[in-house]
Amino acid sequence: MGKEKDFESTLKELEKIVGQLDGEIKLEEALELFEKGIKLSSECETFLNHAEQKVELLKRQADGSTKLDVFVEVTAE
Amino acid sequence: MSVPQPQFGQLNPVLSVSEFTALIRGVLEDTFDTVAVVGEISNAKLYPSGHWYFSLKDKDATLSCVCFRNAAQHLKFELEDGLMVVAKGKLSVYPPRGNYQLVVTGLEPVGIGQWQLAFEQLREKLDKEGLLDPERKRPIPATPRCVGVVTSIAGAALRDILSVFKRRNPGLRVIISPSKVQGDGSAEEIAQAIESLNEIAGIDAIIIARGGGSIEDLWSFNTEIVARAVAASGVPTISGVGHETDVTICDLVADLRAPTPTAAAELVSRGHIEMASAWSNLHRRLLDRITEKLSTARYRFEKNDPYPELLRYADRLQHLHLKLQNLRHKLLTTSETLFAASKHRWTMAYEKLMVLGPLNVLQRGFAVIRNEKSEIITKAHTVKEGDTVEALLAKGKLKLKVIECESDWY
Repeated sequence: MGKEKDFESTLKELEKIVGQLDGEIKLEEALELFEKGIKLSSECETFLNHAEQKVELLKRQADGSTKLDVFVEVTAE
Repeated sequence: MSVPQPQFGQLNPVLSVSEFTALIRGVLEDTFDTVAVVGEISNAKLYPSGHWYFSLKDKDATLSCVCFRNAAQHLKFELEDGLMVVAKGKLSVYPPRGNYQLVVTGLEPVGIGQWQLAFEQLREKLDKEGLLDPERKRPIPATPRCVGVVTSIAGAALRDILSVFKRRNPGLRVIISPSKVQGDGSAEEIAQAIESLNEIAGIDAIIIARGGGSIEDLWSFNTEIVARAVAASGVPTISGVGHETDVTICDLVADLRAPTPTAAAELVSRGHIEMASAWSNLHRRLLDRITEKLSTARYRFEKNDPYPELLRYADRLQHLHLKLQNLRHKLLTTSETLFAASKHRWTMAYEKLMVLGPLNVLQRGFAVIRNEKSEIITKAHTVKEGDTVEALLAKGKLKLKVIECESDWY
């Protein structure tokens, strides 16, 4: 899932499809919806499961500007 | 007090004002080098120089006092008229005016702790400005993508927060804006750290956190400079300072108060967890619905002549089956980590689908015949003698050459 397309809207789309599947529709349509739904669902799953934590450290430089560094966790003292 | 005895002999010499004042000064300043006086503050005034001028009074007397900047900067609370205090210091005579005043080196409120007094004073001041109004509180975005954290880089608070995010919200981007959280200069650093985060684009919320400690340890979070930085933040703030029972000014000004740093991180992750569970529900419903539809379809097939109709879907179903098999594998991994409970349902739905799908039909000895374009052949006249066709079996496939075409076989 692209960063711009947010999780929430994908979830909403999925919700709509599941809602449509609830109705009286032909098997042909149902299969089509199911395929679409599975695609959206796996996008959600990817977002939920495979996202990697990114921790950065903000530093203020001598000239007053800010800069982001990768954060290395300090072990307990 | 005894009247000082002049020692100039019997001539009783005439003294200049300066000489006399110098004598008085010597006597008073030597005698009252360290005194403690209790009284009510009146006419308190803070000068731009940082010196406080005020009077201490009781029913019958008034004493002029000054608290110079050096001593005043250590005061936690503001001097207010009517406040009962014990002032410690030394008496000082000011010859040009011919008066005396108490040079105060320490002040303590009477009947209330200085910390509590300072807290109440600042709270009242901010409240008057409207900075504590409930209407000012902004909502924290439900599913933030990026969160700023103001805390000490080596503190327990940071470890607690990162551990919650790792567990609950692994996709979150975290930007730490490091700051001292106690001691001299810490209030200024905290305020600066909040301001710095406001300069970075794309931050959805800021957590201001510190682990538990004494009221002195937590003091920076009760200072005006921190309160104003929190109030001025363009990004919604969550305060998680100390233990559950500690309430700081920072907590009151922030958009959301969390009882601890861990709770602050959990509040930020709450939306994400809700979304995950919403997804899990939808996914299950999706599988349930299609299973239902397929089951209805099978019932219909069995009632009528099933095969031509089933064959129309055979390819599609087989494709779906492969996809599902793949997804099942992936989703089981997710389920295990995120929602152990939904795993069972998912497995059941998958098995149902397997029973209903084309594989089960093929298992009974039927085959799907396709031409070279992979189109399913249901009528003999669509192929010619000599054409090559493909037969899909329950397991494997065959390449066949057509020897004869007949329009009927029964």
